[in-house]
Amino acid sequence: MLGRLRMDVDTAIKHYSTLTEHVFSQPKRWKGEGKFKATRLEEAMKAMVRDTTGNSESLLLEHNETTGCRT
Amino acid sequence: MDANIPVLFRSYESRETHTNCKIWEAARATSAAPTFFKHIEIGRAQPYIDGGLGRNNPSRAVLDEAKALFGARHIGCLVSIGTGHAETISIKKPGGLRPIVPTDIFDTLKAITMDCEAIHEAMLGLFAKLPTTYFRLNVEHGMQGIKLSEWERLGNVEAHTSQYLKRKEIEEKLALLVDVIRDPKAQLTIEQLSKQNVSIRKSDIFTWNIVYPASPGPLNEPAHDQRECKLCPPPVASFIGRKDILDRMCSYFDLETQSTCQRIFVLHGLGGAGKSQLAFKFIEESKGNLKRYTNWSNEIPP
Repeated sequence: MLGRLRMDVDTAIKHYSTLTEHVFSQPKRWKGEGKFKATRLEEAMKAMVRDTTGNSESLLLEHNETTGCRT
Repeated sequence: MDANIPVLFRSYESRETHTNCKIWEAARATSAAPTFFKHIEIGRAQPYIDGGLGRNNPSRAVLDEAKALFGARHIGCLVSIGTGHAETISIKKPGGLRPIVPTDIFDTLKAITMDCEAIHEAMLGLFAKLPTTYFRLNVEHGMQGIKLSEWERLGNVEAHTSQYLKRKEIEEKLALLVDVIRDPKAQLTIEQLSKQNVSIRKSDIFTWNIVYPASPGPLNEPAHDQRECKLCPPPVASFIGRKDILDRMCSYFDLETQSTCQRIFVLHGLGGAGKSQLAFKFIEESKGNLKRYTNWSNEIPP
């Protein structure tokens, strides 16, 4: 969040709170592998990436990036 | 899945970049904490789980990566931020009306805790001669009751963290850290640092630290050796085996060549595993060669 998405600390905390509430407020009714739904986690992560980069499917790798933080 | 071989997802180009990984996939893989979420498959259906198991403290992985990227550059500082002090991670034992926690989860969490601290200890050893380079910040009290999934308790985390940051020694540490980031000291290159060769592998279990002086002490001081050696008790009479580890210690300290540099060999492991006895045995066996041995310390009680 701080590195690749270049958020400032306050923005990162805000996104983290939204994400954890979305993911952990609804435990899975039928517990398979894991107590919480991975799909909700993925939704929240994609929304966060979309809000920051404009595209939820942005790649992690940044070509020819020299100024940013290496994450 | 072998948790000992970490997979690094990078946002920059390197020899082994994961080319087509998306940001959300990398984020998802690093949050695949077992028992919380199922694992994720990326690319050629390779399963990933969170590094928490065995890689909760990535300081060593960071150093290795930094060496590959900027080996010839000077090291400025290494800042490690923990998620709560090891001793404060507590889980109630199963029993009574409490939900039953399987023993293997207990053991796993205990192992994570120990792993984190073992790496921290190893880092302290590695940076011992390089002051103001390694900084670890870790909230020591209050985090123990807060679970990863308790999103509504973020306020408590904040309160404990501000409390921690207000402590005098932490304020001083932070001020020092800011100075170092602003004005790096350029003492050693990353390559030189990694040549110091601190042995830390998951299979070597220790908290033992045998300290050699940086230079030989004044000559003609036999009383000094005797005094210090008295402090070290002999191993128990029933000590047996462990030849493989003793041999490794011998070759690591290179006793034949009588080298003069300080070397640290870390023994870590469960209480009662025999770390202290092993060290006593080593010292007893090498007394003849251990001329410059000056002190021994058991930094974390076994």
